[in-house]
Amino acid sequence: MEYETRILVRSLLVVLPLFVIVSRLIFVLPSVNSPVINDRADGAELPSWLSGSNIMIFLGSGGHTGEMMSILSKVNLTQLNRIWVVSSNDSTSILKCKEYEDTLKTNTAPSFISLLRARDVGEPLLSSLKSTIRSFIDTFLKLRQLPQLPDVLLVNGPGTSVPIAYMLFLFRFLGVGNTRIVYIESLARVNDLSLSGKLLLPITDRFIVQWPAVANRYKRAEYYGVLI
Amino acid sequence: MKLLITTGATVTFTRLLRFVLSDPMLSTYITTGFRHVTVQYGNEIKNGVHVSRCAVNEILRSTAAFKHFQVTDDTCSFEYHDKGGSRIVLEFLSFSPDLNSLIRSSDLIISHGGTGTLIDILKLHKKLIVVYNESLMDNHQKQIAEEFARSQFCVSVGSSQLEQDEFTGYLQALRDGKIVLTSYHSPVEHIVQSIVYRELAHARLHHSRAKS
Repeated sequence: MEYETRILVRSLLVVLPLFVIVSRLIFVLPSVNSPVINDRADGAELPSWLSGSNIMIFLGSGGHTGEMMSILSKVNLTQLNRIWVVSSNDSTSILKCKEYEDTLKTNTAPSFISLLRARDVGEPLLSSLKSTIRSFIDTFLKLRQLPQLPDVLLVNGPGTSVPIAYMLFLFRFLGVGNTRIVYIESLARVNDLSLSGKLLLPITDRFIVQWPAVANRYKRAEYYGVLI
Repeated sequence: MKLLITTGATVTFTRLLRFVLSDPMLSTYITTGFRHVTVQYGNEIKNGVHVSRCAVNEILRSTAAFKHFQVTDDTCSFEYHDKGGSRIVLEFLSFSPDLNSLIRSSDLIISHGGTGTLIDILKLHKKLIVVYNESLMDNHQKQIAEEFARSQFCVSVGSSQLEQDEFTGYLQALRDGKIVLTSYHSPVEHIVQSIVYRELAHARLHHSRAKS
């Protein structure tokens, strides 16, 4: 009898937390519970109760930053708190972003976060793994320093954007944050998603692609045309 | 008239550089009426060696017109007088943090297939010939360039199909308005804004529910 109880308690100790984790995951995972949305632009203005909301924008360097800035030229951010995230030593992105900030007619100052690179192209597996872990820890610490977690993360790759998106999702999983993630796949992806797109697909609330062929392959992908 | 040739920053597009910096192309520029050509040749550095600059200098050495010129600094320019007395200025730069102002001041642009650059050029409504790099592994540049050419935003040519007469034909037809390009407009102006605002509303509603 005593033996059986012990078995029972032990298996409950394993099964219960697992059950909690899985049900929480089902509850928060956008890919499980958010419906497929496909709405047209209404070009509405920002409702006044949303002014001062926090938006985090990830600038992924090179072409990714170029696309993002081009997309943002059609988004009015003046009434939002802007948190820009760049990879360390990506001075071009910082320059482009400051240029953009100068065109905004607003007196709220943006904030900047500079993150370690997740991995370099062609890095061997082991050191790539090490630098990925380091980048996760770095991301965690930088996010902790923020006065408030962002309401929305706007991201368009590349791989360096994966740690920060997952970290924000982890905060949401743990109930300490509620950042909604909006991913925009690069215009360069004509037929299939990029690796970062595939990795982020389950945790993003909105997943937007720019070519119809990609949209047809993935149920949650939204397609409206070329956005930049 | 001003011509801008942009070959990308991270990878040296040797095939395009070799083509646009050849003696016959140089006379094409002059006969087509270009007096100023800017060549952005790339900023690829490996083990402290400026790969892009070495490639340009090697190409220049193999030409008749420029065999004595060497690109030494980040920006430098050469003047060339042909036998007919026409003058053309070639300006070289490895990379420009402000490509947009270069685009704005040019009449025609020959560009690599990088998406960001293409969009920048199309937004400024410039005449454009795209040369997509066919030696890239994952060749989405080709798909985009061809898609854009289908919409008549630009003329597109593959890097393995560069051919002097055909290219000269494109330059002249674009100059004379015999090839008419369509002005580029993004079909959906405010969609990302609506999506961002809607998601902000979702996040904030959740916040206030959690607090109350």
